[in-house]
Amino acid sequence: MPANTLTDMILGFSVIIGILFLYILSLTLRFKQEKRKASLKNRRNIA
Amino acid sequence: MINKPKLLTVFDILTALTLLGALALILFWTPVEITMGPVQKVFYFHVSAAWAGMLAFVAAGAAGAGYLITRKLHWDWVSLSAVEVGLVFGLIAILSGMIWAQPIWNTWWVWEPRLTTTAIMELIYLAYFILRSSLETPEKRARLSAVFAIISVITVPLTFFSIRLFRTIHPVVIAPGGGDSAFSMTPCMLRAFLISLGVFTILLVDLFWHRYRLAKLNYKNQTGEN
Repeated sequence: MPANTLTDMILGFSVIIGILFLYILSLTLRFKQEKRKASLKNRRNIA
Repeated sequence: MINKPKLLTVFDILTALTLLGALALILFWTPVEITMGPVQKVFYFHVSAAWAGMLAFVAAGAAGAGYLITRKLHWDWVSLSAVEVGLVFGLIAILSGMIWAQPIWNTWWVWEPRLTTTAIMELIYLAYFILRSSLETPEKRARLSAVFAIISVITVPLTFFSIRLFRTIHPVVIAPGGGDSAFSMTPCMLRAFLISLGVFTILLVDLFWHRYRLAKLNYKNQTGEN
């Protein structure tokens, strides 16, 4: 009979998906910040 | 540059769908391993993440060489992006391995060759960012980072072959002829494993692409280039 490791499996996949989600979120936020900086720079150049 | 290319949007959707498909395949299609139980299923993503991480580190080294040869800064952005994405995959491999080890080895961590070399590899690539942050000029930063990325590549084969070179309790997934410690897979398991490897490679390319765009935009903002 296989060992009862269902909780460990759920924890394992949660950690994998969680890290990926956090990294994607960090990429999105950093890109938005850079985009904001770029548009500010463009506005200053036009002014 | 700022606007997201349509191809990247399509690639994002494709990546998300293949990742969800692989997860469903692993959870509902692959058999439960007879001794370890359901936690064995973490193995498919654990090995795939380790593979993607190592691939990214090798790419970072190659991009470092590309920079030293051509002195074009886009190679530095490639190297930087590959190292960062590789670190994320390395972290996934380490943490998912620890979660698997707890019920199977009865401990979260053992200082055996594979785990030790993986930890060293991860720490060395973390140091890459410390090095970068200590250098002011983009050219000097790119040059020294490229040298660091090339030298650091040595940790990749060391980590990969550690379970073949030293005595270890870590399972060997790919063993020609099947050694004593070889992890035997049913054809169904092998198919799911190969699919996971493919999906994580797609995920690596997708995340790398996003990180590269960020590196490029960051450089343009810092230097005032359009």
